[in-house]
Amino acid sequence: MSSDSRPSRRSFLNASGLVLGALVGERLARAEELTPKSEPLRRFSFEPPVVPVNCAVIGLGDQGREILRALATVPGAVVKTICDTHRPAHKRALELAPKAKATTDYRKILEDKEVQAVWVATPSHLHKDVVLAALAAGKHVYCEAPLAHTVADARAIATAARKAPQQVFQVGLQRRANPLDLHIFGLLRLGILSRLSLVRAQNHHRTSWRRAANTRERQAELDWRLDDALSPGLSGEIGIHQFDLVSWYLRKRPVSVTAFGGVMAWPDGRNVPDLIHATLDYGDGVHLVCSASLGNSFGSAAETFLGSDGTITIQNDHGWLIKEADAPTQDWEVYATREAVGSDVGLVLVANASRLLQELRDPTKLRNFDTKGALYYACESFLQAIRAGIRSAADAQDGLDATVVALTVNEALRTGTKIAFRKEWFEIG
Amino acid sequence: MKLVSGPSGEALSCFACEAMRTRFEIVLADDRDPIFLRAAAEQALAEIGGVEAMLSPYRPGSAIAAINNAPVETAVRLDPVVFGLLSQAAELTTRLEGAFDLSVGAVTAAQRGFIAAEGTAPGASALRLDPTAMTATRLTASVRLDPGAIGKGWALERALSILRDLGLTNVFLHGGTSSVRAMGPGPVGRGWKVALPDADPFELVDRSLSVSSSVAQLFASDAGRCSHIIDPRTGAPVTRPLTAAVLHEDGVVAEAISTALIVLGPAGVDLVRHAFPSATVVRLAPA
Repeated sequence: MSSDSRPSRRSFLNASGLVLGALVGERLARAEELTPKSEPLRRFSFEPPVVPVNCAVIGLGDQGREILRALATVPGAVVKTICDTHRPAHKRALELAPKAKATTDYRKILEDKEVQAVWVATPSHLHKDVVLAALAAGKHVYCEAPLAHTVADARAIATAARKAPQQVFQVGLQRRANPLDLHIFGLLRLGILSRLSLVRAQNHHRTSWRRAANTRERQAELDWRLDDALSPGLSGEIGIHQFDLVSWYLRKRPVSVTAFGGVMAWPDGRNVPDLIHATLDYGDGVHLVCSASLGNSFGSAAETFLGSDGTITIQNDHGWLIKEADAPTQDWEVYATREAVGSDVGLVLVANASRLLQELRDPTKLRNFDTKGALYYACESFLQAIRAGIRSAADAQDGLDATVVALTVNEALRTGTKIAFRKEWFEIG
Repeated sequence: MKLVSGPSGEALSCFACEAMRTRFEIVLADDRDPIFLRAAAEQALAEIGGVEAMLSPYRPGSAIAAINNAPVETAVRLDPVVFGLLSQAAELTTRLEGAFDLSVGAVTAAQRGFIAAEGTAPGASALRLDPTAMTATRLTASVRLDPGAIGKGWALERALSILRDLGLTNVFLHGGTSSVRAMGPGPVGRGWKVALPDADPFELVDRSLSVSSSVAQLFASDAGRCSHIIDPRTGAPVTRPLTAAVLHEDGVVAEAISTALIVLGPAGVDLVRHAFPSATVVRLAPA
C-alpha cells in the first residue's frame, strides 16, 4: 500500500466506530466521540472480587524488589513475608511491601501454613535448595529464570516440580504471559510472515554488572554473576528470555549452537564474558542470530523475525509488522496505524486492540500505556493458575528447556565448538 | 567513568546516564577502589532510571501513564513508593496554596503537542488518593498528572539514599544542572561549589538546590510567547519572565517551591518563609 492510500487516524476511528456500533447496537459513533479525550461515557470503578493468595518473596535484590513492585498492584496478592539473608536488604524491600514480615531464614516462610505461594529470586546458583524445600513444604513456586546455573540442578528442580502436580510451578520466563508477546505469537501461528527464515535478537547494555557492598565478603556474594563457577553468564541471565521467546514462537528446540565472545568492555579481572554472539540452528533453515553485551547500550533489547512475507520486530514492549510489497494483505491492516521503523514503514501491533475499542479507547494511542509490564502479567497469571488449579504460563519443562539452551550457549562459547543439542538433555527425570 | 580533578587536584569520579530527557551525573569525592565506586554509582543511576520508569507519563507501564489513561472514576492501584510521592505532592499543593500541582499536566502536555488542550486546570481535588486501597482515581477527564516538576528531585533523593547506604558520604548529583543534590563536605572540605548565572559561587552542603525558570521552555500562543509552567489555579501559562532558585534538605520540596515561586512571583516569598522555615530562596528575579 502506498503512503498516499494509508487511512488517516480519523478514517481509522470512523471505521472502528462502524465495527463498534455494530457490536454494541448503539448509534454509530463519530470519530470525535471515540477519542479518549472526550470520554463520552462515565464509568464506575469496578474490580471483580478475587480470591486473595498469601505470598512470600525470597531474595530481595533487584529482581526480588521488582517482583514486590508488581505484586503491590496485582489484585489479590497479599505479601505476608519477605526474606533475604542480608538484613539491610529488607529496608528497600519493605518500602514496597510495608505490611510484610521480614526474615533472614527462608525456612520460616516454608513453615508458615498461611503462605501459599513463594517467589524464589535468589541468585540462580541458590535456587535449587530453596525451590526443592518450598515444593516439599507444599507451596506453589515461582522460580526466576534460569532455573539454575547447572543442567543437573535445573533438572532436579524440574523433576521435583513435576512430582508435585497439585502445586503450580512457574518459571520466570515472563514474556509467555505478556499480552504483546502473546499477540505476536498468535500472528505467527496464523502464518503472517509465511516462511520464517531468520531471527535476530540483541540485548545490549552499558553496565559493569558489578554490585557494590560495604564489605569485601558481601561484595563477593553479590558479584556471583562474575564468578564463572556460579554464573549462567549473559546467556543465562538475560539471553534466556530471548531463547525462550524464539523456541516458544517456533514451537521447537534448537538443533545446534555456535558462539564466540569474551571479556571486551570490562577487563577488570573477570572471566565471565561481557560480550557474546551466538547462532542457534532451529532446523528447516531457520537460525537465531543473537548477541548480548555490557559495553554498549545501542538498541538495547530487541527481537526481529524475518519471513518471506514480512518482518516483525519487537522493542521496549512495542511491536511492528513490516510487510513485503508482494505479501497478501489481511483485513485488519487497513485499519492499522503505520509508523517509521528505521527506513521502513511498519504496522503498529497492539495487543487487546479489540477490547480497547470496545471500551471506546484508541488502541494506537494507548499501546504505550495499556501495559503493566511483563513481570506484572507473569505474577498475575501465576496467581490465576493457583486459583484455577491450571498449568502455569511457563512450566517446569519450559524452564528446563530454556535453561539447557542458555547453558549450552555458554558451553559453546567456552569450548569454541559447535554443539549439537541432544534430546535427553531436555528430559525431566 | 570520568576522572576529574577538584580545585586542589583531588580525584573526583564522575558517572552519568540519560533519563527524563536530560543528563544525570554523579560525582564522588572518594578515594576507594574505582571498581567499587563504579558499581555504587551504577546502582544509583539505575535507581534514577527506575524513577523514570515509574513516573514518566510517556513510558509504557509507568504508574503515572496508568493513572492518566485510566477512564475517569477508575481507581488505579499503585505501589507504596509511588503512592508515597503522590501523597507528598498533594500535601505540598496544600502548603503552597495551589501554586504547585501535579495535575496540571494536561495543559503542559497540550502545549508540547502530546494531547489536545483541556481548558482550565483541574485542581488537586480532582485526583483522589486512597491510602487504604493504595489507589489513585481521576475524578475529571482534565486531570493528567505530570510529575516533571519534582521527578528529578525525587530521583536524586532516591539515588543519594543508595549511595549513603553504601557508605558514600561525599557526593554531588544533578539532573540537567537545574536539580542538584549535595552531601558531605565536598572535595576540599568547604562544601560543593555551585553558581547561578551572573552570580558568585556558593557552597552547597547537605542540601538540594532547585532552579526553575519561566523562560527555560517557551511556546507560542495567541497571547505571545508563554512559559511551560502553568498557574494551576487558573490553567494559564505564566507570562512574567522569572527565575527561582531554592534550597531545601528535601529535593522534592525544593522543586515544588521553586516551581510555585514562578507562579506566585515575589508575593510567594512570604508564603514560603512561613510554610517552609528551613527553605532558602536563593534567587527570585527576572530571568
